[in-house]
Amino acid sequence: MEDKPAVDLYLDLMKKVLTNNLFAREPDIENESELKFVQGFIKHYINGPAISMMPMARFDNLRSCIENVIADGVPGSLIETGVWRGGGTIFMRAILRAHGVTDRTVWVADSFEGLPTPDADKFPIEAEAHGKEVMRKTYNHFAVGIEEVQRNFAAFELLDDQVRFLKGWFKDTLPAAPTGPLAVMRLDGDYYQSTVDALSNLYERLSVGGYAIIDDYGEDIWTYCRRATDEFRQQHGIEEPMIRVDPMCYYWRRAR
Amino acid sequence: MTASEIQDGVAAIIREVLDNPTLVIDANTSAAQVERWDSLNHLNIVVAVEQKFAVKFKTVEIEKLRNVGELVALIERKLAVKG
Repeated sequence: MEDKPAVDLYLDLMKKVLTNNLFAREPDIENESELKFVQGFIKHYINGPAISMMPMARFDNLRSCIENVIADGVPGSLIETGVWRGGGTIFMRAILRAHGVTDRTVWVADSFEGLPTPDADKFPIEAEAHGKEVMRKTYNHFAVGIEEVQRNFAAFELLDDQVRFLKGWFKDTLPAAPTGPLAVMRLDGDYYQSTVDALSNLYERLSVGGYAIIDDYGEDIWTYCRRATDEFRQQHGIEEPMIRVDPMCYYWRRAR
Repeated sequence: MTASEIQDGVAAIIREVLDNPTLVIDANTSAAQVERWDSLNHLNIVVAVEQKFAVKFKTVEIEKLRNVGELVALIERKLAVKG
């Protein structure tokens, strides 16, 4: 058996539990057919005990980004915008705990009542997806209440004063959110406007050396997330390369 | 494989997924006419069809289908391309 350090054992276990991969196997986003993946996604995440719907590769990416900013002394807190059952932010807090970091906060931003209704004139494919039966009945527009998310944090003994919640639509909560500098911003608001609201309110707070992770950058069937990101990067002269995590998730590290 | 054979195979999958062995299915049968044929079972049916006939569909292709006959025709076209 590999002699893993306790930190690795703890964080690997957290990753597997949060993603429902301890005794089950996540759907294969790289190799399965589109419909087979959706079927597996519903079974494994939506109807299963997973606390995050991120595949494990995205957890590895998140851990790598956070450990890099800790190692490099990049100042700032961590935020995820769009958290579903809270798994990504619970993992953020676990990483800080595992490394004994006490001077950074995990910010948990969500409406806690699901995705906002897209403007059908401006964003027709998002509006169409939003109204589909599977989105309404099976996904429930990804709505999870704040009490459930807090219970999930508490279940892992990670609900403490280093975790702060921002409840409401991003356009309302993010402008005045007292986050201070950010070292990692993980955007998972799915839609165009949610992505724009997060980038336009948070990117100026991202420290040089910090990371911007866009969970849905590769999605083009049901969201304009990529367009929102590309437009923002162009408008702000961001030339750092987008790095692929998997077919959907991309990130960049702020260089200036 | 003939259209009739494909339709028989599709009908068997639909009956199995919907757990309704006596369900009568023809080319005009649509999801709206059949109890329990909701979006989730529709997905289960189509994935089972992919596996049985060794074809792959895109979401946009599936969303356009109005009845069993159109699904059978789509499978026929995909099998023809495979040769």
